[in-house]
Amino acid sequence: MTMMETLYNRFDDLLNPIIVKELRQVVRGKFFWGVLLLFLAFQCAVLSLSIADRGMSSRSIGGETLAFLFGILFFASFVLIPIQNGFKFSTERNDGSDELLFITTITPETIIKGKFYAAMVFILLLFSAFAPFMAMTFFLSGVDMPLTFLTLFFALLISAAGAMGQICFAALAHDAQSNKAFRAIGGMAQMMAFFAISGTGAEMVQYGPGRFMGSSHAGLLIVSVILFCLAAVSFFYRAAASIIAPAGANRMLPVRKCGLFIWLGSLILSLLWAIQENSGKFLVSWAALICVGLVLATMVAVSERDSLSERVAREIPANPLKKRLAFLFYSGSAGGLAWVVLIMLITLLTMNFFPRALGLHQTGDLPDATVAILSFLGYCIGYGLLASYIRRLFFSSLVDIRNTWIIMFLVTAFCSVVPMFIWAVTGSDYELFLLGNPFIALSRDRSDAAQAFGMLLAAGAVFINLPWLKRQLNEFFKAGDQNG
Amino acid sequence: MMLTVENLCKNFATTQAVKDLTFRVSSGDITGFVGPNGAGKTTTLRIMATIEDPSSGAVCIDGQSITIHPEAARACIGFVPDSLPLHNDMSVHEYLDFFARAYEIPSARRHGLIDDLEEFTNLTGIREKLIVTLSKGMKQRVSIARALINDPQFLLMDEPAAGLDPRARIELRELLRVLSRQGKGILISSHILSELAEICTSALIIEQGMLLKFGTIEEVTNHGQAARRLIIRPISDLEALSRFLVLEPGVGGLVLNGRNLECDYSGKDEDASELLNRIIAANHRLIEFRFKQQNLESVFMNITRGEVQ
Repeated sequence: MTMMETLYNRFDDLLNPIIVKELRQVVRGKFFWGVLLLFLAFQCAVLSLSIADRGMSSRSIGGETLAFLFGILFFASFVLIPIQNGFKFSTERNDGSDELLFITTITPETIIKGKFYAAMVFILLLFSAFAPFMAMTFFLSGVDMPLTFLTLFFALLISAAGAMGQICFAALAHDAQSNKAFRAIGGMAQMMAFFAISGTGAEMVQYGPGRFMGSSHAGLLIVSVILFCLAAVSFFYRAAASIIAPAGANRMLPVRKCGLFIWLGSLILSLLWAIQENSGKFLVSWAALICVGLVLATMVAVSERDSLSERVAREIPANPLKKRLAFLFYSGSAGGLAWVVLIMLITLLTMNFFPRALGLHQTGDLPDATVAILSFLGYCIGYGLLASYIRRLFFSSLVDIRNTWIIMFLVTAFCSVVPMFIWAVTGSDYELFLLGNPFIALSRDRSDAAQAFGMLLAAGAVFINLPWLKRQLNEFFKAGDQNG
Repeated sequence: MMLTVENLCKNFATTQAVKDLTFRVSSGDITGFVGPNGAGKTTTLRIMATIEDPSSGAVCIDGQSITIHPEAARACIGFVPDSLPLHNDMSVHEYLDFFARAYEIPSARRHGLIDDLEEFTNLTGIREKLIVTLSKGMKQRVSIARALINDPQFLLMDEPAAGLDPRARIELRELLRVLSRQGKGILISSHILSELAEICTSALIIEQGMLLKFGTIEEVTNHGQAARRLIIRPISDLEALSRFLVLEPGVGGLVLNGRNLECDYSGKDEDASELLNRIIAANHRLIEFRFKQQNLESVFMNITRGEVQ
């Protein structure tokens, strides 16, 4: 074997099999070539019209054309390719053709990486195809080149996050019904994100840097966007790999680890912003974002399995400290809820500690925000545990534990909407009938009753679920002792 | 190597798909997996292929649990599901190459291996064809080739003969015989019982997730018979032989059936051999002396009730 062959074989062995498959399929398929040719033709038309119109239009014709081209590119890279990639993956999940992969030695992580890299190859190809046309706008007036490159870099990063997000939504589809539901939700989320982001991006391209980045914020803003995109990619990657991993595997460990890293990274970033702006409000915003994440984590936790799989049981460390940590991070409903409560408490403590320790201004909102977040999460944990109890008591044979989040959603909707309906009919006391709605906890003019209700709901739900939670804890610790 | 299933149970909500199933498959065995629709065959095979987790019980390869060490198990198992390959926009060669890559077979070995597999499964001539253009029989061969990529010790096949024409079924049968001679243990579920009886060394019958019978083909086909039916065809005097047999121990229910004498015989194989010696010594001339075998179909109909869960 020649050296070239050896090198080729080594390179070939390094290739992710999913990328090879996806690229082969795309070369055969019509979608990518169709999109590419359509957009190339469109760009030619746009650029020709812009050049023809050059003499008559404003001095910023270059910027306007570039913004228009950017919009098209971003639509293709952030919406079309990720949604198509996700659709393809969900179809494979739905028809079960991915199952055969799980009996090979390929890991769920490799599958997700392969799908992601394949999407990125197409996105990069699209960027390359757009680059000459975008560069042409430089010869028209009103184009800021450095900012254009920066915007394109952001667009690429955001498209990467979008592609991974769609893969994660696609991974959730495990039958025909859930496939349609999750594809619809995923598609809508992507479209909403597109409209939210593309406007800002197009304006950045068109109007230059000054409008968006004051000199003192530019560096931190760039770092924030980059870190946000990287966090989104890594979280969606971990989540998608866990979703497609076998049910008996310790699926939540990497997700919770990743969640903790994102928590830490976002805290550091918020502290940097807070110090730069000398305002404690950044930490309140950070805690509010973490709160949203914890609501989702609660929905996941109540839908996790409540008995130990053989594989998880075998991985539990015997060391008492490690065993306690493992309970929080390993797959399991009770451990997941404990993780949510722990992160919630640390978040609230952190939110209150740093602004005072750093002597930041605008810390007046902290006590109010603490109570609001605590009550809101109290509602969510309460409804989650209530849903779990209802499922076990009445629907254990009808609803699989992994769908408990749907019951949680229904219970929350019922407790929020039905009392309001009764209020509307009877005309009784206003706030009493709104107490079931978790969002009342976030309202500025809420009463003490509303604040207390969330906490009481959580305490009551924990109480009725105590035997269930205790059983899981005992089972976990017993398995750990057996490994020792 | 030995693939053992011990007290395997699988529940889906209120349905218990598999109930306390225990059996084993050894290297070189071809075990027929028989049961009515909805009996739990596919679920059992999917658990053995590590696609699903059991609710309780264990599946072990040489004593090592596949639920605890699924990665190790996957190296020893090939699975042919009841669905045909669905990657319609790939050619046969690309499809096999994709799975060889998924098994992390190094490039230097992969190309030769795929060529060999294509030759073994008679796919060489159609390797560049798209899967969507293939017939069911060809797709089934692709599926088997895929399952053999990692050179597994055990092959689990779920209804591989379903929908195949007679030629494709015969080819499949021959392929399985060759694989068995290579020392691979094969567990094959099928509804075509006559074919199973022809190639299988042992059989496993389940209904409603429960094991009804497991053993060698002979043991299964002799199921429920306290005495075996003996068929004797003499060329000498039938009546004289009848009078002789009536006095022999273990012989009962003697009837004349055309040119044959048929009777129930409760003795063992050694006793039957002695009986044959005595018949010959008594100057009766025979051209046939054999036990009548129940076929797998009649055993299946006798011991199953056709109920689903």
